[in-house]
Amino acid sequence: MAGFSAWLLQRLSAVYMAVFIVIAIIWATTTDINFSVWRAGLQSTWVQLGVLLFGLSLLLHAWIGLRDVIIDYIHPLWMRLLALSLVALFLLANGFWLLAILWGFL
Amino acid sequence: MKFIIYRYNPEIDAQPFEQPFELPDEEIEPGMMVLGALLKLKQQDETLGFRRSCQEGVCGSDGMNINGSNGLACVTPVAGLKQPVTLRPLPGMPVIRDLIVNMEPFFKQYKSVKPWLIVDDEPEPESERKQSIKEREKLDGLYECILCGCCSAACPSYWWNPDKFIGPAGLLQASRFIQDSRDEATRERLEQLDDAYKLFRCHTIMNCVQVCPKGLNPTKAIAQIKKEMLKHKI
Repeated sequence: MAGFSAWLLQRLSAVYMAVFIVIAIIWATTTDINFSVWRAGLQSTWVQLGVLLFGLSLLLHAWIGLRDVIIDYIHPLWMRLLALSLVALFLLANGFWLLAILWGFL
Repeated sequence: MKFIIYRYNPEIDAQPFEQPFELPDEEIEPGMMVLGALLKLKQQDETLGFRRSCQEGVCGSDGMNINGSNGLACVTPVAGLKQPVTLRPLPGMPVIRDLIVNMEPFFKQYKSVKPWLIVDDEPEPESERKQSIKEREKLDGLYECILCGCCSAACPSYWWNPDKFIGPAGLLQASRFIQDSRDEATRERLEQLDDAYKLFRCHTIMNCVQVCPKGLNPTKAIAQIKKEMLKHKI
């Protein structure tokens, strides 16, 4: 995935995250949040799907963006591969962490 | 008027250096451009190297870095420039001598977008290929480029990847032929640009727009290419 498809995906994920964040802020400021409210919210399948899609958007968006920075500045092949691997590892770890959290609410 | 000019002759100098010049006030004429001053300074030191030809902003030979910003010496008035006026070669481009840079890599990128009409009609039509007024208007802001290189030499993405990223000047021309109603290779042109480097190293920094001596907008032209890609893909 490079060029146009990466560019498009970066923008689509940005739009989704922007909408999600606005809704999340409105929810958080108008709700009296405590543990049980938080827990009940995350037990809804729709919220779980929304959060999952947000996580996926964030990971893809970050991957495309960081890969762009690495392609711009890091030219020696081994350094570029190392940097890309570290980023991929970090993002994947975060993805699995999110899955584990959501799994806990199933 | 005080000047500081980048000097480097690879045959003699181990390192580039900055040479101070002074142009007496009585030699400064009303409406004088940087190029006029350079021509007078060259009388003081005839080893000073720079390119120039038409002297009126049409040929694009005397692109250089004037007080930190790229522009054409022949259309930049000396009045109003902060002193000492610092003149350097276009940044990111290999220096041949003093203010003269090697434009070869720049023109290689320009050539890669096939900056000519590609048509597939045999035999050739008897008369010219016509455009409506609306179709012709789409080329405004694209065809006026004089290929001075000021924009590409101001683009950080072009500095980092001059061999792979086409740069604002080349992409402006790519857009000019993608927009052209007479061209029949739009799809091929768009496909050729669709990789990680050629077009998509542009991060809309917009230095190109800021420095273009002809007031053109390569960033907008690049956005139009992306829009065309969207139309063709979806």
